[in-house]
Amino acid sequence: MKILVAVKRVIDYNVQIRVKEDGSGVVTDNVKMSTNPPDDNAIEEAVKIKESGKATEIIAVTVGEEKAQETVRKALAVGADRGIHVKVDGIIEPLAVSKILKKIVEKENPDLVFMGKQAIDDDCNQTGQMLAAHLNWPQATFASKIEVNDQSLQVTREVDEGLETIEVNTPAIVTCDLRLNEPRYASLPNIMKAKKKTY
Amino acid sequence: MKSKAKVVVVGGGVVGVSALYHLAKKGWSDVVLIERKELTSGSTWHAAGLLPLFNMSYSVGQLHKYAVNLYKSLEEETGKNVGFSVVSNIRLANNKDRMDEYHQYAGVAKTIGVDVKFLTPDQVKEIWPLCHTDDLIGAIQHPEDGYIQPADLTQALATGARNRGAEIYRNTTVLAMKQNKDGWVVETDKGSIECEHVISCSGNFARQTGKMVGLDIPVIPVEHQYIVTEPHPEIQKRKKEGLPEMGVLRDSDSRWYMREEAGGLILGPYEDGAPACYVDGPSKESEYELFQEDLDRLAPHIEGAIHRVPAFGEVGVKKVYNGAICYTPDGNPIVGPAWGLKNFWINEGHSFGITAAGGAGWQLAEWIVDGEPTIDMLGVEPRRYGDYCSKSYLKEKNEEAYSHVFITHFPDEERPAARPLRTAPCYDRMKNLGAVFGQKFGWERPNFFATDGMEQKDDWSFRRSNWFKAVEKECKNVKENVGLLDMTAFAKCRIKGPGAEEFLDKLVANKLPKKVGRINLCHALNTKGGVHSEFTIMRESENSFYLVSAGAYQRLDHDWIFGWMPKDGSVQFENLTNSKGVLVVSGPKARELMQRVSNDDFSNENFKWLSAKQVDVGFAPVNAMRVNFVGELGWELHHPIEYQNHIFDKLMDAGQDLGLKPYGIRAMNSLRVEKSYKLVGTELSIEYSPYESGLDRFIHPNKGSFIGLDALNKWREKGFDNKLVTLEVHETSDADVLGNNPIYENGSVVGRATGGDFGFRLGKSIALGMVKPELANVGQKLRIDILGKMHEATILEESPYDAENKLLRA
Repeated sequence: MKILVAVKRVIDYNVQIRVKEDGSGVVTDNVKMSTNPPDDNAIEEAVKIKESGKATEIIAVTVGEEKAQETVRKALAVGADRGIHVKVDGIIEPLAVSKILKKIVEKENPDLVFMGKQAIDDDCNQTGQMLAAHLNWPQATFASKIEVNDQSLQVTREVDEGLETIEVNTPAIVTCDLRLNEPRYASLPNIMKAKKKTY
Repeated sequence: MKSKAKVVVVGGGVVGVSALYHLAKKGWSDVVLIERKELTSGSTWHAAGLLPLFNMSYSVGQLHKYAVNLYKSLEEETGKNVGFSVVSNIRLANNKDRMDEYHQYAGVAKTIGVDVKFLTPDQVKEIWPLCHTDDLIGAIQHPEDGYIQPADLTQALATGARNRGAEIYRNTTVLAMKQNKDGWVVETDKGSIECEHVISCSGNFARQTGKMVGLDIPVIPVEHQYIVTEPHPEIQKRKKEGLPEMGVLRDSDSRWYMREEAGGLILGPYEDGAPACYVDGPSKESEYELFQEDLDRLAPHIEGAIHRVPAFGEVGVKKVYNGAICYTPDGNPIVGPAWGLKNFWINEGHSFGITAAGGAGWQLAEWIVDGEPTIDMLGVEPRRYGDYCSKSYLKEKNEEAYSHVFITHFPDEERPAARPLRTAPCYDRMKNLGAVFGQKFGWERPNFFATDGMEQKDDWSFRRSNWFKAVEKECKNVKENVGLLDMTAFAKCRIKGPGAEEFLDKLVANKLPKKVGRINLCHALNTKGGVHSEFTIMRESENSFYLVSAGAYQRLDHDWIFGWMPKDGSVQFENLTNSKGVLVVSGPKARELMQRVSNDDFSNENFKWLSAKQVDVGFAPVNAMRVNFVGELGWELHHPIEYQNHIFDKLMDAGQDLGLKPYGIRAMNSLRVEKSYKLVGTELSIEYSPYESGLDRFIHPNKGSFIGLDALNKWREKGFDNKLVTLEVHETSDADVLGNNPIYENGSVVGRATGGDFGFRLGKSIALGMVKPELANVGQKLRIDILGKMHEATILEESPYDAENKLLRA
């Protein structure tokens, strides 16, 4: 089984966001950036599934500027096998990202696509849903527990009323909640190795 | 908010809060601190909290020592825990130069009373079992230091200050500062405060704060990163077993520090290529700010750390902090009065702010309240820099200072960045003659001359290095023939006007030269009677004096003059440093040389020692002053700088068959110690009275009132603790005294060396040092530590080379 995990580079959650003086956006120059936190949960879950023997390959993918590759390398450092970086300069929104991801899915043929439930910068919460529509795949959003069966997943979702458990057939899209797991930290040798990897 | 206060402190990092605390502690309760955002929100909050006592500088060492002792007592005083973990600190060495550095440092530590121990690799292993020690040769340990929680420390100091009446205004921004009569008006977005003194403690904003009052404060921060790992099972196991924390580990040769943190480890490397940041200041809104981490540039240090402590690579990285730390070109902070402005104080540029905050606040409070600091602050003196510190220079030099944090601090080190910058006209000629240059106050000065196929390159060492032989040749040539030294970097100025004599007479402790054309060596004391500055003063005319002092202290000396000068127009000050060059000829053949290049009379009858004459050298007008710092017949040739190469060429042409050869600063040092000549910053300091430094014949307490006289008289009644002596150090083989070496008698420390060198004219290793007065007798046997090896030493009579100055007067 092959899992594709989409990750996004965002301003670090500890940073106090500042608006540019001309009001055209937020300051990003030399501001600390990191992987969107729920995307870390998505990677962690994929690595766990692989460790349990149910997956054979994890591909981390990101869409963004040159430096977005840091996000892919971080995924490689904690256990992703391959990375894909679609280079795009400037601001890109969920519809475009979901279309790009669709093309990658068509090329890579993964059984599962994981990503964070939303990005902490724009809080759109759209890419997963849009991708499901483009591919006409089942989707399970806000996942806080995932059980992998032969042809399906049992997913516990965080919803306003509490928890909801659903079953989706694979291939499927899953967007991950922060409660799904506790992402591991990469060790320095693995970080340094991932930095040297070509992909 | 108050509208009046005695002092306004600008900036609420640990440095500012400590200054506030110390002012309040000193009895000034009417003091306030203004912080733009929250306390610690600039750099203090992300500091790793280490308290390294290790510092090669005598002044900085004392500031650190004070701070560590203060922080230990803060909880008792304020009821606030500061999280001080006294876990000790171990510095590793894997080569001999590094061990030399530790031994030299241990000397500093012993003379200021800091406890240090040397450890074998096995002893390191015992304390730090996770450390790989096979390739080490030893280590030095400070049992007394460790780390602290910077934010808690700041809060405790704030509580201590508030308890004494000080007030802190947070979320208040300083918009402007204006001088009014004797003090300042500080305008903020919440109103104005009138005050007597302002202290700038604004950290990353230093240059912006300076700009408000027209000061170019030489501070630009540099990015520093440290890595925090998740817990390691081995460390957690140690904790469970109740074993002590392993302490702060520093691998100087791999350039990092490491300590335990919540069961994991922290690694902080000082790498090459860390960029300056906030070059034009942080954003107005900046608060608790971190930058994007860059592990790539840390790679070699991370590898070094994993080699040294494999456990570090076995667990995950929890967080990487990349934050701004202030730097100055030499890496030491800037603590003291601003130049040219009354009652404006600078406490900026702290790269080791947590450690230095305590001592800096302490000495600033002494300085502001009592008028003078109590320890020698030259190492952190704001006026040690000049207006050569452009923004681009700072960027380059501060990045260098950052990458040099763990470099071996050789005594003869000359850092390469941003050079050459200021050069005398004869620079290229000197270079062609083999000069290897050093830099002082931005000026390039020949340190020594590589001749006879020697590589034109320095080879730094704590011991006699490649240049030792070159210096020997230069010294012998000065003794036997005649040498040429470029001293263009000297600070020079003219004081003139109807009030000039009266003013200078008040400024210095010696009598002024009475006759036109005479020269006296004069010392300016501070108000407590210590030695502040040394001037060679030549009387140019009835109402005009020409003053020469050390190049490194141009701004300090000139600011001292300026600060005391009457402002009624009766005295005028003119800085001549950049318009006058100085070439020094010295040696027994100096007279013959001068007679060859000049039609003026250089005979002993008509050109006496300690006199000056306006002469021609070739076609160039020269003020020839018959003084020098090496104890031979000779003249300092002060000239309008544009004539320098003309004079240089005339001298070199005429001197060829006299054996005229250039010599450098290192030869000068060797020659001066043989004459027991003193330097400001080593033998002369505000910590010593002029009598302790052996300046008796330059001090005239009965000439009438001068600055420091009353204090000096009281000091004398109380009695002196030191006496400067000249020592012969016996059985040296490859190393001489460098300064700060402890001096022993019967196993206890009785003094410290201030300087030393091998004296080639005497063929002896010579040291100058301060010892207890009862031991300061010619023939007294003492012992002196050179790089960990004890040597016998004997006190010689002052000026062991030509004690009667026959050569100078010849």
